[in-house]
Amino acid sequence: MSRYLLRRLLQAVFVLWAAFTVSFVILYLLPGDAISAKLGGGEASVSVTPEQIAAARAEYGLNDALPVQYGKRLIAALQGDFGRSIATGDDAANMVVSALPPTLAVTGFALVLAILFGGGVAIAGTCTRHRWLSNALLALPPLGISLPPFWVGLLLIQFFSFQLRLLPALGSNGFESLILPAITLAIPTGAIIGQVLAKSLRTQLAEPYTEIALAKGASRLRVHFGHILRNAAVPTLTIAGVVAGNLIAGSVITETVFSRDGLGRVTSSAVTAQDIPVVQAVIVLAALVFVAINLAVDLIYPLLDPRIRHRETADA
Amino acid sequence: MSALLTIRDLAVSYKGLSAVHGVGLEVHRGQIVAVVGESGSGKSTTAHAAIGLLPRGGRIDRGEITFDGRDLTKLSDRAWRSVRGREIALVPQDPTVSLNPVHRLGDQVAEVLLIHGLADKRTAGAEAVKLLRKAGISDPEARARQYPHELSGGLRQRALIAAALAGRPKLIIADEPTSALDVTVQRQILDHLEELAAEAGTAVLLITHDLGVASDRASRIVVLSQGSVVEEGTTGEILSAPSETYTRNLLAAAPSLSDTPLREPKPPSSDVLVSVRDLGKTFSGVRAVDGVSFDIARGQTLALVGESGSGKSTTARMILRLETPTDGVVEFDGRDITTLRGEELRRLRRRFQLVYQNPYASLNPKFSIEDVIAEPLRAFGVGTKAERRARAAELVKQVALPASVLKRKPAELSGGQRQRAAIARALALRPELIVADEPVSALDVSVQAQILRLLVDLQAELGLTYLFISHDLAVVRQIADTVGVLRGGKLVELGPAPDVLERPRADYTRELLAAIPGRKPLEAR
Amino acid sequence: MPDVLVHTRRPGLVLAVAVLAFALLAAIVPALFTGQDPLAGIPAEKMRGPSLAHLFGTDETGRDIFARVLHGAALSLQATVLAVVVSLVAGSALGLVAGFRGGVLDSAIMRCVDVLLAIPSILLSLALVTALGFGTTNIAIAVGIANLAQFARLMRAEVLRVRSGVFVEAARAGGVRWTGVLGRHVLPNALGPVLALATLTFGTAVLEVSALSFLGYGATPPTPEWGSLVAGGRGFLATAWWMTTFPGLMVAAVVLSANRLSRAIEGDVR
Repeated sequence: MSRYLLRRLLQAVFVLWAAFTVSFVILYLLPGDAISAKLGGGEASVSVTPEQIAAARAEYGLNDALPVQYGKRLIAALQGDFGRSIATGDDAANMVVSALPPTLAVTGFALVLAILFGGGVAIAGTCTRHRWLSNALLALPPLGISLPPFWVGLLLIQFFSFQLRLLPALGSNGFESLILPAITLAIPTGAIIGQVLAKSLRTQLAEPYTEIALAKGASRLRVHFGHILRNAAVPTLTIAGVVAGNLIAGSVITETVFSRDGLGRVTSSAVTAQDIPVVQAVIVLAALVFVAINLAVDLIYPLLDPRIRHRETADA
Repeated sequence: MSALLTIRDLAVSYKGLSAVHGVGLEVHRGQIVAVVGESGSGKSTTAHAAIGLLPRGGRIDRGEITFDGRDLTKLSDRAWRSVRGREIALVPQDPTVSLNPVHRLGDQVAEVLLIHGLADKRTAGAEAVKLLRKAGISDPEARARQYPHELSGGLRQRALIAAALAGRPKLIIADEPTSALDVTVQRQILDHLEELAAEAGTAVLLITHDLGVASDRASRIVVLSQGSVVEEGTTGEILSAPSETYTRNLLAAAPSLSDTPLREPKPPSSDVLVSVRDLGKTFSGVRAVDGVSFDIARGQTLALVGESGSGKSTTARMILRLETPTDGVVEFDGRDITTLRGEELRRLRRRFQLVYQNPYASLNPKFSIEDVIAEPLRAFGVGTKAERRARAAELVKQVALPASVLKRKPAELSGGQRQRAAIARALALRPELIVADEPVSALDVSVQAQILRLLVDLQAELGLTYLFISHDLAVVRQIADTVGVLRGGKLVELGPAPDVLERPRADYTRELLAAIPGRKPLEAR
Repeated sequence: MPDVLVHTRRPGLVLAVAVLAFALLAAIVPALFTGQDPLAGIPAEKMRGPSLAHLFGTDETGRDIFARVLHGAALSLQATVLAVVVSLVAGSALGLVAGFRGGVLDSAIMRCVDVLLAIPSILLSLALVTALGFGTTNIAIAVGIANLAQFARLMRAEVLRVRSGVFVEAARAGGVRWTGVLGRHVLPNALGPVLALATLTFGTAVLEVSALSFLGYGATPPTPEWGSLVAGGRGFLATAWWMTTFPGLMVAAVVLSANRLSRAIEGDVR
């Protein structure tokens, strides 16, 4: 067991390192020049002296040989230092971390909604005996996945804020302002959860052990909750990391649509300004979340499925 | 006394396609009735209709199923729940997938008691242990706490029988209860099921494809074919005086030890084509094959017999060099091929070919039958495209398939036709040795007999040498000159077929022979 | 594909194919469906609601939104197709090599793929856009690379599944060379689910491309793109609902149709 854990931990560290490296390769090796973008203020007419550029490049450590740059940045990143924002001059890691709480509020709420609705639709859709109801419910996840979130957000504002005047359209004040962004974010996420869960529930329903349970005289509800749900949960948990990633990525859209502060806004303005240190900090943070969630899931698996427990002890 | 279960004029269809039309049968209290039929006969559909668990899309179109005075076809969902498990129970075909993998064995047996209020949460566990013990499981306290994946197929089937008996039902429907198990285990399980049912006065509706199993266990036999009843009667009547041609053919096709072989066994010969010395294979520390030695004489058939895990398939694969032996030597026509690799090995493949067990998986689904058969010719650049097509047509004829199959895809053919196509492919390069790995075990008995006949005819015509892998001694007896019996990777007995099958020296061979179903009644015939 | 079309008994599928055909046709010859200019507006007709003259209404400078949506299809769908091609070709090639060769190469490729999967694809495309700069082509490449990992994974899994199949071993035992085994036996049988994923990714790519364009990383105005059209209507939510609703509806319809088609292909493969 402990060896299994250790291996998973090493894997997690590897993925983090690799995410850092990939983002370094993408951001620092590919063309694109934030320095002139910043100094020029985006307007070509403003002339910048070569000396100014050179000074700025030196300040951001861009004059070193690439392996040296990589080494220095990696060591710094290990200490939580991703450099200073090119656009604002603030500490990049700090910017990202302090933008986190408002984003977490929305994504957390959205996750609850997504699990409730996605899971509910999948369970109800596979459990009901009425064919039409099952068809209608199970058509919802593919629909939810197809709707552009930025459009859904705007439609919600149109309807709930401008027509019904129930909820605020913009801003980050109070619980009421959470509702629309959370719904926007929950639709695609819940749809993914619903789709994967419904698929595994249907796979489990077709398994012979389900028939045996029915042959014992068990009701459909008993079969669903007593037998197949636990089996279906295993494949559904594998997408937990993807779901979390989706929520973070989705924040970029919702925070723009609803003009909220948070990680998404920091990200989108960093991309606009080609603010490389900030973008890298965001990516490493996203990878960290993914890795942490998958590590947690790896720990939950054996509790759900004794076969995985068995394999582990065989490994160790 | 009136019958416990009466099925009258039952018709079932799947999405408009009729699966069963006009089936009728009766089961009396405490009686064992066998429903025998080949695949597609509707035997499984009939069984599932009787417990109200037709697969999705299945529908009862007409007919009635009366159980203990009630018409089951008119039951509500709720009423069905009180029948299933309590009055009618099910023992499934494949025990390896019929237990919930995440629940403990004891809980799965106890579930029946809890559903029907036969025990409360406190006592159910102890009751389940008692039931497991009754089903012949040793150390039931420990087993009850284990998960299905920790137990063998035989133990799992015993647990399922325990669960079926837990509600003290009046009828058990056993749907091919042992076809997924080894013969020796099969016999023990059926013995036990028979015994327990007799003790509790439970009737059994036994669904099987195996006339031998049916004749060993049942007092009455119902023969089904293509969705309707062909013949029905007591076991004695069916076996000794079948009135229908279909039943007679089925009886004739069923391989049995008393039948005369398809051809006389040939005497041992010193003209050796394949020689195996001290062959061994270790898979991640487990010895799958251990010190196996034998010779295969040119133009003769050597059969390797064993249960699952005996190493018979691995041995065959090593001879074909699809696996590399861990130790030992394989000689083909006097040449050591044990470590041959690459192009040299590929060229040698012309001389030995393989026929697989499952004709559904062994043909490329995207190819036409013509392409399937011509593929080895193409691989070795034999002839022009037109010549290869001509050869494919010739081969199709040789294996007695109509020329019309050439343009069809494997999915459009029946199992027997596919196996013929697979044999045609193996013959394409005019090989000397054909390794047949359980070539008939996925097929219906009547088709089995035809394929065996074909193999024997081809051997005479083309002078082929066969290595025949099988778990079924009755099949082996039909065609083998020499028989080797494998157990746990070791060769326990090797000799001329008549000696091994009639005067076995090893205890294990005797055990295998005794486990062959249908021995008593069919021999008496 | 023709196989799929024959099944007229599936009206949803027929509708999906019709929507996709319409969108693709609009992308190639938008003039077929509208005679109005997508760039030059008629100030006198600005901010009009939907009518027969302007199906989707007009925007703040009097441009016809239906015309802008149709002309926007060109850029949006070109970008989408490019993105799908990038991920399909690069991803499948990686997966094929990994699955068929196995060993160290397999582990190395799949570890890299794992890392790509660990970063949400929108964030990965954002990083690539940061590095490559703005513009429709860059968005397309970014989305393509961000989705490549799934193709590599699926292709590898399919190759492994098919390769372990009995008929593949039968081909090997029949003396077929490894090139023949790969080209004639493994690849044709592994391709179906990969093509289904490509269709599905077409839908995801439309979403991601238009999301990036919505955020303002795409073509420079006034060139129409689906995402930027929706963004353009943001300022007029209270007064001109049609400016956001119709372009977004077009995106949703195309994505939904691609998903429907993908499921049909997957179903036919199985």
